Amino acid sequence: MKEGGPLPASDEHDVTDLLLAWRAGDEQAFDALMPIVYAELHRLAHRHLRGWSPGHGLQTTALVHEAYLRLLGSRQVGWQNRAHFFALAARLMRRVLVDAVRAQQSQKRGGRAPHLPLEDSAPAPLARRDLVALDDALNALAEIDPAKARIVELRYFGGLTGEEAAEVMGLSRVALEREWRVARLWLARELKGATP
Amino acid sequence: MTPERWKQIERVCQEALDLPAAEREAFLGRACRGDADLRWEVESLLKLQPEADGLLDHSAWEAAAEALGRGAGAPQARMEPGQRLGPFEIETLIGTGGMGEVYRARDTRLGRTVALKVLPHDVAADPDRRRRLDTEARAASALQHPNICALHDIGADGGVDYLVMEYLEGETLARRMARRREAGESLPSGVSIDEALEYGAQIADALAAAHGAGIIHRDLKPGNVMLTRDGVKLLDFGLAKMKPPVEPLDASADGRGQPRTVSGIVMGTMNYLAPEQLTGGKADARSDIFAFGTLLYEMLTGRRAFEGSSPATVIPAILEREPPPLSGLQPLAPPALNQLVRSCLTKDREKRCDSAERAAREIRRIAADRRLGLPRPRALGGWRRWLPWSLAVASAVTAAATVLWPVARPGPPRRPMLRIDLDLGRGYHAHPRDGHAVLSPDGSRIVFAGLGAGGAPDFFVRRLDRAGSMPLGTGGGRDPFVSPDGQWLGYFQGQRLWKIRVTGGRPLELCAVEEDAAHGADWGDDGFIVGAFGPTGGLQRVPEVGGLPMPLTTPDVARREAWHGWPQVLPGSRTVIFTARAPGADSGISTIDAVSVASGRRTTLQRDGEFGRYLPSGHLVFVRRSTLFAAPMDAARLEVTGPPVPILGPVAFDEAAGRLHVSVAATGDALVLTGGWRDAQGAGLQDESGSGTAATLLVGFLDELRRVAPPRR
Repeated sequence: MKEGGPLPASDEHDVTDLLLAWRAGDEQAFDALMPIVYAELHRLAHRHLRGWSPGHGLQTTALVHEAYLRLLGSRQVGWQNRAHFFALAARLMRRVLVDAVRAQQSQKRGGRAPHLPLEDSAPAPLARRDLVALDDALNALAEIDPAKARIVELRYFGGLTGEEAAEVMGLSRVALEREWRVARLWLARELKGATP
Repeated sequence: MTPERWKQIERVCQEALDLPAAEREAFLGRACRGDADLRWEVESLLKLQPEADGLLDHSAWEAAAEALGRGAGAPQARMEPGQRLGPFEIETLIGTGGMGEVYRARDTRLGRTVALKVLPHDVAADPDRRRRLDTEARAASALQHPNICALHDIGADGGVDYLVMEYLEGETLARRMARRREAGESLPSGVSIDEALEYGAQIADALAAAHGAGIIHRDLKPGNVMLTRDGVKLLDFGLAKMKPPVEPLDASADGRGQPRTVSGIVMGTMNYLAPEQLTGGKADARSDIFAFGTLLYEMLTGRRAFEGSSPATVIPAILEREPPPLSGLQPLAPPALNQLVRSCLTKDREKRCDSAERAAREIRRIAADRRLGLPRPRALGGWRRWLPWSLAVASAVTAAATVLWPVARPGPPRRPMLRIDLDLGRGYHAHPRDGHAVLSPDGSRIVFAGLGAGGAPDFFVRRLDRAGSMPLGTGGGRDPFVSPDGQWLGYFQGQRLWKIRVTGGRPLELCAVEEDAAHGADWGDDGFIVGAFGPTGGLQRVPEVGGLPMPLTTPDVARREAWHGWPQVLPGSRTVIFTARAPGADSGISTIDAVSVASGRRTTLQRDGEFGRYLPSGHLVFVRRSTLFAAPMDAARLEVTGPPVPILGPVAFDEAAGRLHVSVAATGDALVLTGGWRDAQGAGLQDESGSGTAATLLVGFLDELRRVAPPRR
C-alpha cells in the first residue's frame, strides 16, 4: 500500500468510537483521539504548507475534511459527530500552526540568522500575521469568555464559515455574528496592547 | 477582569454596536452613568472597529505560511498578445480555470481562429500526468459530436504545453445563469423550463456519444457547458483526469515532488461531483450522469442541488443529503422531470440512471408533452399577482395547469394551496428564535432580517415578483410588523421601538422599550401601535408618530400570568387579541385573550394556545405544541364557535418567547416558518442538521382553511 493511502479499517473504527465516546462526555476519549488526529493533521498541514502559494487559497476545511475522510472514511456518522470532529480539528489545527511558527521563531532566535522584531520606529500596525500573539490573546479570552474563544478557533483556525460555526456552537447565525464581532474587537485591543 | 465584569462590558458594547454610530455617544452616557471604567472599556473596544473588521479575515494558513517564509511569487498569466506558440499566434486571454489559461489564437497555417489552453507547469513537470494528458487528449480528439467542443491537437513549445481546441463564441451556462439572475430576470435560475429541457437534451446527447466511445467527462459543471448559437457544446472532455486528483483519499506524493493540493477543486466545482468521486471510487459514466442531474436541478430551480460554501458542507451534502424536491422549488416542473432528476441524483450508482441516451430520450418526451397544449385554467386572475416570480414565460402556464389542476374536476376550479419553500438569501436564518420574516398586508413583499455586507444585520425587503432584495439600513432589529397601509415597517432594536419606510430612509424612534419585556407589536388602523413596552408586562398603545405609551392591559397575577404579548389589532381597532403567558416555559396554561380598547374588558378566546391570529376567513389560528390550529371564530361576539383542528405542523415555534412567525396577507396567502422541508406529498423531510426550518409561502392559505375547518354559520 502506498504511503498516505486510506488508513486500515481498525483505525477507522477506533476513531469513530472515540469520537462518539468524547461526545458522550468521556474526556479520556479526547486524550486518546488527540494524538491520532493531531498526527494526521500535522502530516497533512506540513505537506500543504510546503506547496502553499498565494492565490491557491489553501483551505483549512478541505484539509480537515481530508483528515476526516481518511480517519473516519465515508462512514455515515452524522452531522453531530462531524461537528465535534471539526471542533476538535480546529483546536488541533491551531496547535499545529502555532507550534510550527513558534518552532521557527525559536530556531531563528537561537540560530544563525538574527531575527529582528517589528521595528518600533514605524507606527506598529496590528500584527495581523502574528499567530503566536493571537494564540496568547485567545488563551486570555478563553478565561473570561470561552465561547468566543471557541468561535474564533472554529472560524479562523478551523476555517469554518459563520454558518458552520453556528451549527457547531448550537447558536443561531445572527447570535454567532454578534459573538464574532465582539470577539474581534476584544482581540484587536489585546493584540494592540501586546505590540504598543 | 472577571467573566461577570466582561459580561457587563459586552452587553453595553453589543447594544452600542446595534445603534447607528451617531447615537452611540448618547447611549454610552446613559448606559455607563457613574461607571467611568465601564465606559472606558466599551469605548476602547468600539474605537478599534475599523481594525477589528479586517483582523481575522485572512486564514490562519496564510498567516502560518507567511510566518514560515513561503508564499511569494506565484506564476502568473504567461502569454502576451502577439506571442507565438508553435504555429499559433496569441490574440487575447479569454479565460482562466483550474486547468490553465485559455487564449484566443490564430492558426497561421490554416488561417482559422482556435482556442488554446495553456497548461500549468506542474502538468508538464510531472511525467505521470503528462503521460495521462497525452492519452486522454488523444481519446478526446477522436470525439466528433455537434455538442462537444472539438479538441484538434496537443502541442508543446519552449516548455509550454497547450491544447488546441475549437474556438466557440457564446457564454457558459454558469455565466448565463449568473448574468440573468443579476439582470433581475424573474426566472429562478435565469433559464426557462423550455431552455433547461433543450440544453439538458443536448448535454445528454453529448454524454451519450462520449460514453459510447468510452470517454468519461468527470467534471461536468455549468462552467463546462458552453451555450453557442449552434447549441450546447461541452468543454474539457476527459481533461479532469489531468487535474490534481479530486479524490481527497488519493493523497500520494507525500514527501516527494510537488504535493498535490486539493485546492484546485475545492470551491465551486465540488458541488457537481458524484458521491463515488468524493470517496475515492473510480469515476464512470454514471458519475457524469450524477453531475448531469445536478445541472438539470440547478437550471430548473436556480439552486445547486448540493449547496455549501465550503467542502465542509458540500461533501456531507453530496454523500448524505437529498436535495429539496424540485416540486417545492419549481412548481411548474412536470413530475416526470422530477423523477428523472431524482434518478440521476441517486447516491448509489448501482441504482442510478445509467444511460445518458435514455435520459436524452426522456427529456425530449417531457418537452413534447409540454407542447401538447393541455387545457388552461380559467381562474388565472388570482395567479397573476404572484406568478411573474416563477412563471415569467407565458407558455409555462400550461404546465401549471397540468400539475395543479387534475383533469375533470367538477365545478369551478378551486385554487389548491401551494407551498413554496423560499430561499430568501441575504443571510436569512430560518430559525424559530430569530427568523424574523413577515408578509406585507397586500401579499406583495416579504420583509426579513438578514445579514448585509460584512455580516452586518439588517432588514431586507423582497418583492415576490422580483429576484433579489433591498436592504433597509436599520442595522438590525427584531419582530418586524407592517403598517396597515403597507408603507411602514415597525420593529424593535436596542431598547427602542422604531419605524422605517419600507422603501428605506431614516429610522424614526417611537418609544423606549423595557429590555426583555416586549413580545411583538401590531399596528392598528386607528393610528396606534400595540405592544408590551413597559416593565409591567402589560400591553400598551403608542401613537404611530411616537410618544408616551398608554396602558391597555395588566397581567393578572391571580391567574398566573407573567406577561401579555404577540398582540393583533383587529380591523376597526376596537379589539386586540393577545397571548396571556404563564410564567416559565409552561405554555400549556397560556391563553389567547381579547381585550376591548374602549372598556379594557377581557375575554378568553382559547385555552392552551398561544400566538392567536384572527383571519378574514372567520378563524382563530394559533399554535399549540408546535402545531398550527384553527378554530372557527365569531369576531363580533368574540367567541370561538367550534373545536380547533390542526392545520399545519410542525411550525417553527420559539417556545421560550412564545414567538411564532406567521403572517397572513389580505390576498389569503400566508408566510410561515415551518419545521423541515417537505416534499410534494406534504411528508416532512427533516434536514439532517436538525435545523430543517424553512420560510414557507402558503399560497391560498385561507381557501385551505375554509376547506379544512369550515366556519359555522
